[in-house]
This record gives sequence, structure tokens and C-alpha cells, in this order.
Amino acid sequence: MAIMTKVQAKKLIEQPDKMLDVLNYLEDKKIINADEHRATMLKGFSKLVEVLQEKKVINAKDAKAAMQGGFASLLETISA
Amino acid sequence: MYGWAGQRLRVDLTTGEITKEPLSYEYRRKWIGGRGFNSDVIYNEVPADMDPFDPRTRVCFGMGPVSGTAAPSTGRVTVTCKSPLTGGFGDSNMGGHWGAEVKYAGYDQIIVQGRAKHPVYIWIDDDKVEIRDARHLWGKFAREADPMIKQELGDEDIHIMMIGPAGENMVRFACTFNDVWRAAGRTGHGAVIGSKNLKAIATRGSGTVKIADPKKMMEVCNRLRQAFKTDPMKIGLNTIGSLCLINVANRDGWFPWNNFQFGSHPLASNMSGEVHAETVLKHREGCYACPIACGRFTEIRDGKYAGENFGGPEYEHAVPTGPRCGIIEDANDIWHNARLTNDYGLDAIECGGVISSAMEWFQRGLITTKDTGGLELTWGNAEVVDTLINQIGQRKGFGNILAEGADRAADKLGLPKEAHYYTITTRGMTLPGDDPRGLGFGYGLSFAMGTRGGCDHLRSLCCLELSGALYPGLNTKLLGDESANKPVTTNGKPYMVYYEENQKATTDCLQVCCFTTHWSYAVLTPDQVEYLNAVTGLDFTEEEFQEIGERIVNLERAYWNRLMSGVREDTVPERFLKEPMPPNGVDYQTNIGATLPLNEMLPKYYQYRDWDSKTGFPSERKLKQLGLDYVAKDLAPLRSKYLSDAEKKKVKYYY
Repeated sequence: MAIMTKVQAKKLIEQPDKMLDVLNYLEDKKIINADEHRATMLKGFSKLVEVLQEKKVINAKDAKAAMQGGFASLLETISA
Repeated sequence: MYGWAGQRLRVDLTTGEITKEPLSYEYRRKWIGGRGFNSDVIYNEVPADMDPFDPRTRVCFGMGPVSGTAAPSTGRVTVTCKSPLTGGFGDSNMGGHWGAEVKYAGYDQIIVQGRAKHPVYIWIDDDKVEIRDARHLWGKFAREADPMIKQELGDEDIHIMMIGPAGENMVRFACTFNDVWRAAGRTGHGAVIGSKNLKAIATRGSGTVKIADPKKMMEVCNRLRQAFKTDPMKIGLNTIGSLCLINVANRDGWFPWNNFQFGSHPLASNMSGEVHAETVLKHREGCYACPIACGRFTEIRDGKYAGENFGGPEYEHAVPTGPRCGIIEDANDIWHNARLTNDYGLDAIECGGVISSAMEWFQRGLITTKDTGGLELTWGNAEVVDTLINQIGQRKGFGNILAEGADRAADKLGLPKEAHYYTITTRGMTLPGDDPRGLGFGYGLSFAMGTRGGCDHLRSLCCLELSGALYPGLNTKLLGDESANKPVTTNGKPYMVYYEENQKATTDCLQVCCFTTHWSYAVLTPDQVEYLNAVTGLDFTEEEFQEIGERIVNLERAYWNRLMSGVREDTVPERFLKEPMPPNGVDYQTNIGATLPLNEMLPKYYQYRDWDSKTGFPSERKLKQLGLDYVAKDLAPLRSKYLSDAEKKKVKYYY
């Protein structure tokens, strides 16, 4: 599911440290809620992948790719 | 109750009163144990403006709910007090077997307060606790006093925590040992223990740790122990100890040559773990329940120090009074100095830090032989380093000034502000032997932010950038960015430090060795939560576990904030920010020209923490989220004070 533009994704990918900006973006867009934001901060990237898969923002194949390619892969997947 | 003993022991050396205090479920759930219990006691019972040597100060020894169980490396103990070196929050952590023994005696924590009229030691024999005369032990090295106490008590199998002569002489960076050789090195709590006239705590525990789900516990422990069998860091640490870092440090340019003026040396491998194992290693040692056994025992076999032996050294034990002082040609000089710092009970990092600072003052003409009592403090002068370690331990001669720590020594000598540039300290404590221009930018950030002063290779311990490359996919799993495993990049580092600081804090609450969870990543956070629940029968979640770590980091941070230490003090020694790494004859060194881009990382770090970027104080919202409403109240009037012109003008090297 595309939830941001390629330009927005590229901007986030270019950030040296991405976690907080990505989480804030997803919360602003109401893709994740405050509790999920908090849980990801505490547990790490794999939690975000888990949450997005549960919400069907990404599918199992995307999730697997994200766990290999990190934010670059995930942001590519959720942008159009 | 499972896991915890459920009580803390409090000994008042002024009154002789000995009390046992129950630890409620809510308290244990909030702080877990070890570092969490200790930090809470220091925050609440030791006012920030109290002299660290005031008899009313506390020294806390913390064990965790899994201490003494079969989980990997459960023998750690955190020692906490108000640091006489920095004046701020201070703790340190030691391995050995004493922590497990205290648990078996029935205590999760020991608090010592007051001051005895003469030297004493505490004898804990399960529920029987007494204060005994130690005048005959005063002045003895731990290696001498340990067997004396065992003979006196008629039991060779007891375990003893002890200070050396440096602690008795209140050297501001004296440390603590247990089982003679396992040190809690940093922040100077040995001096506080010495100020209380306490030589040792001898312990015999005949009880056990009750496990809620023994079957599950054994299943988890067996799985983790299997993982260690093939773990790359475990293999390296077991084979050649933490000296395995020497050649890596030299290649990546974080080998602290001549007080960090350079990051490499062509002869560095003279003191490598490989050479140590071939020449002076007598045997390997492991702490309680440890599958790694990184401990060394060294015996010098030739030269003028032939026959000397001691437990160690670690990388951080050997480097400060070796290459940091310009010594590398004869490794026996380095092993000898490590033996000396052990015997006196000195924090080897601080000891090498203060001596190398003085050497750089001498190099730059800020001090002369008139100041040093005739000693020529030239780089690599092994005889002078030997003399100074002895002088510091005994508080004699020029060493008596250095025993105050580098920043205080600069002020006592009346040196100009420039002298502090060379002390390589943050918040009054010297950095370990790790140059962040090469070790990694995450480490650099954590040196600036460490809640026990400018350590702090063991606060964040962001090994995801040191050994992370040995665990493919791990940086992606945790940080979403595999490139964060490269040291000299800012990629993912603010989040890495945030994550690792929280994780390290809870690891210190469990009182398990961080080599199982950071250097090696054979044990990850979900594994820790799994064995914590198997032991306690409770239902901690991974989020709750990490949040407890965050709570502790914020509480310790608030202790510094009460001292008016915040964003202005969140920095590293200027050398790392201003001086591009120079070459030093090692053609494969990888970080020539590097400086630490700290200011690129700090703003994002404050955002992760939800700390005010103007003050560096935790926001009221964050403190309330963590159940620290009382801390928010404490800090409320201090926020504007920190921003006042009067505070801005103050230059703080220590507190």
C-alpha cells in the first residue's frame, strides 16, 4: 500500500538516522498510533515491520524484504 | 517469591545498626534489581549537593533477580555511589562470584552508610550479619587480605568484596574488587568505601534462588549456551581475551597513543591478545555461570618483572598505563603497570588518564620537573609511570596531586584553562582507551551522554557498530539500517545509542554480563525477557523491559541535572572534535583525517529521549510517562536556573 510519494520516501532514505522521522510520519498520517510508535521505539525496526504487516500496509513478501533491506526497502515498498 | 530474595540489607557503620528491608512487588517490577535498585537509592537518599565523602552518603551493591541462576554470566554486581571523582552520579559493575553468593545469602542489595570509628569489614553469613575489626587488614593488597579473612573465618569457599590501599587513601578513582581480581573500576567508589573505614564484605550464602519454571529456564539456558558455542565474539574473547581488540583498534585508528594524539602505532601488536596468549598467559578464568570465560591470569616470565602475576589484563586495564602513556616496546612494562593498578585497587583507566594528561602538560611546558618532584614525564618513560602509580596509590609526592583526578589536579597545580584540553575528560571522568574518531561515532555520542560521566564505553555500549558486522542482519533488525555497523558514519547512530543505553540499563538490572548481550549478541532482549520470566514467574514484556531501562537512564540523567549539568556539558574532549586524526606510520589505518561529528547527532538524540534541547533536561512529559513524577517536580525549578546567565558563565570540569 502506498502511503507516501517517492519524493517523500527519498527524503527519508537520505536521512542518516531515519527511525524517528519515519515513525513520526506514519503517526501523523494515522498509519500507526502513539502506542505503536512507542513500542517500535523501544523494540526496534522489526516491530515496525510487524505492525505494518498486521495492518496490511505491507504483505509477507514485503515484510521479508524489509527485514533484509531495512528502511530503504520498506520506504520503497510503501511509496508510489 | 521467585528470583528475588525479596529484601535488601542496610548496614550503618556509624551506629552499627543492621536492618533488613523488604522489597515490594511494585518496587521490583519498577526497577528489576541491580543498577535499577541502586540508582533509585542514590537519587532518593543522597542529595546532589552532598560531599561524596560525607558519612551520610550511601554505597550500594546491587544484584538482580537472575543473579546466581544458570542464565549466562549471572555473577555481576553494580556498585553505586555519588562519585568523588566527578561529584555526580557514579556506578560501576564487576564480575566474579560474589554477587551470586550474596543472593544465596538472601539479599538483592546491600546499602552501606555511615562511617566506622576504625577499619572494619562486614561478615554476612546468611541471615547472620556482623561488623568485625579490620585494623590488621588495613594497608593490605586484596591478594593479601583475601586469604587472611578466609583463614580468620575458617572457610576458603566464601567470596569477598574488597578495596585496596588506594581506596583506604581515598584516591578519587579507587575501585573495588571481588574474588581478588574482578574489578568494578570506574567512578571512584573505592574511595567512598575507604572513607567509611570499610575494607571488605565477606559473604557466605547457603541458600538458593527459587526458579518459578525450572523446565523452561533450562530450555532457554541450554539454547543460549548452544548459541555461544559458535558465537564469533565468544570464541575471540575466550581465546585471547579483550586484548583481541588491540590489532583492531590499531587498524581502525582508535588505539590511544600518547593521550590520543595518535590513533595507531607500528608496534601495537606487541601487546595484542595473540602475543599475550603466547608469552605470559598462565590460564583463563570465567566468572559465575559464564560461557565466555574472557578472564586472563598473567605471569611475567622474563625481564626485571619476571615472576609477577595477576588477574587480567583487559584491554581497558592494559591500554591506559601502556600506550596511552607512550609505552609499547616492552609489553612486560605494560603487564607490570596493570599488576600495580590492580594491587593498589586503582581504576586503571583513570590512572592512565591522569598520568598521560600530566605527560602532555609536561610535553607542552605547562608543568616542569619543579612541579613533579623531579620526575621527567616524557612519553614512554616506563620507570616514571611505575613511580607515579605507586605514588598515586600511596598518595605521596606528585602522585598525591594526581590522585585527585586530572581536572582537579590541573586546578590544584594552578594550570591555565588550556590544561583541561589535555585531560580528555567529560564531566570530570576520563574516557576509556577508545578514540571515537575510529571506534565509532555512536560511541562518541555515548561518551558525551553517559550518565556516569565521560566514560562511557559501558553505558551505551553500542557494539552494534563495533561487532555488529559479525552478526549480519542484526543492525537491520534493530535499527533498520545495516550500514550502521560501520563505525565512522552517523547512519543510525542516535537511535543506536538510545536503544543500546536502554538495553544496557536493563542488562545491568538483571546483573548479567554485557559481553553476552552486546559484544556478543548471542543473547538478545527477547531471550533476556524469556529467562527473566522463567525465573520470576512474572510476565514482563519486551517493551516493559526496555522502558525500565529508559526509566533508569532518565533518573540518572536527572541526578546530573540537579547539579546543573545538561546540554552545555554534553560533549566530548575537544581533541576529538577539532583535531583530524593524524597518521602515525601504520599504512593500513582506516580513519586518517576523521573528526567526530557530534553536533550532527546530538539534536536527534535529544528528540529520541524527549529531552529539552535547550537544557538537556528530560521533559516533564517523558518523566511522567516513565512514572517519575517526583523527578519532574524536582527538576521544575531548575530548568530556568540552568538557562540563567549566572549558570551559563560557570565552567564545570567536575562537580
